[in-house]
Amino acid sequence: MDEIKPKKVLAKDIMTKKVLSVSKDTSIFDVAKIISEHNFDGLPVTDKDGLLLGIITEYDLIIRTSTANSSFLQKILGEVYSKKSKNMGEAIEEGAREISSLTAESIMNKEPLILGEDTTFEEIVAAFIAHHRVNPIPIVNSEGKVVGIISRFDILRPLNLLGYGNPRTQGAEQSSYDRNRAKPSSGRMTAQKNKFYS
Amino acid sequence: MTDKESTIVLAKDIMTKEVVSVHPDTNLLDVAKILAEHNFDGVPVVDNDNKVVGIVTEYDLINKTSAVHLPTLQVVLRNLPQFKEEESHFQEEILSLKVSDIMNKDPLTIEADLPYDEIIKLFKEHHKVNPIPVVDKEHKIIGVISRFDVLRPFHVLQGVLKYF
Repeated sequence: MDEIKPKKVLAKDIMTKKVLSVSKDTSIFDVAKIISEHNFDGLPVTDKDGLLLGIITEYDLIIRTSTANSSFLQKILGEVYSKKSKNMGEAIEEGAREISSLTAESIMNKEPLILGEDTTFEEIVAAFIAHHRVNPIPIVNSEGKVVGIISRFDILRPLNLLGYGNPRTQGAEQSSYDRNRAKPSSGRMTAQKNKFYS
Repeated sequence: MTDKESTIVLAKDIMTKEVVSVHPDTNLLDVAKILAEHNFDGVPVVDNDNKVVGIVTEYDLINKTSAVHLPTLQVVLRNLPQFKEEESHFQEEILSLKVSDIMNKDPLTIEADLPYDEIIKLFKEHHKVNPIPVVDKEHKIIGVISRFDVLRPFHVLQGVLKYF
């Protein structure tokens, strides 16, 4: 950290530096897969030089694909529920043709909020508060290349650090909500998204 | 589900039934921990009768906590051991904050029989909302639906989800 402002925490100090991104030609099926597998809220779209072109969020995926294709999505769900798995192929083929023509470029936000590496922690928090739809925020260098990404999770890391090993908070996560938990259903996966992955 | 019904997918079909929730008296540090560990955007707040009384999100935590405690949070980020020495004042302050102090007390909720396309519409209209608690007639929580759940068809197609 530089000596001039030793006390300031900057974007480059808290950002995630290994950034997963997609290209503008990535199919939205692959975008959906990456977002769900990594449990992301959003994903940057970059060109081959790492320049930021846009950002795609879970929200974009829902609103920009479902309008045209909600009947297709319903059909997929319907087939799965009725366990007519032999018809799944047909349903998918039919609908997937339309949806697979959609690429990252067609649904991304082309003017995403970005911040520089030297943005202060205060400024980053202010940005998240002012833009309540924005999460995550790509961090770019002077050339416009993505060098990191900051999510709400990164901002809340201090609270998590404090929570651990603090005798006055609940030691085990279970105890704090067990009594409120709804009855477990049979065969249903848990709320933890990660467990869905095969 | 019968063949006839199979074309209409309802909230109860795609909702997550094992709900992680917090109590209005839960400490903020515990909420932060639960959100981080489960990678949630938000959790419903329920009372002792399992009735939904609010929702608390990552955004609420940032908006209502960080703004007040920015300098301290930065000390934590820079150097946790150093923080331990000067923590007592901050500890008192932050541990006195409960979920009920920062939660949204009038959250959007839906019933189990809401059709899939109506759910999509709600997510579209309420872009801050994630997840949406699913409640019964007495307003007791029976599930939650997140954006992830709405995107299940994609996950099925991509082999991420096998069953649901």
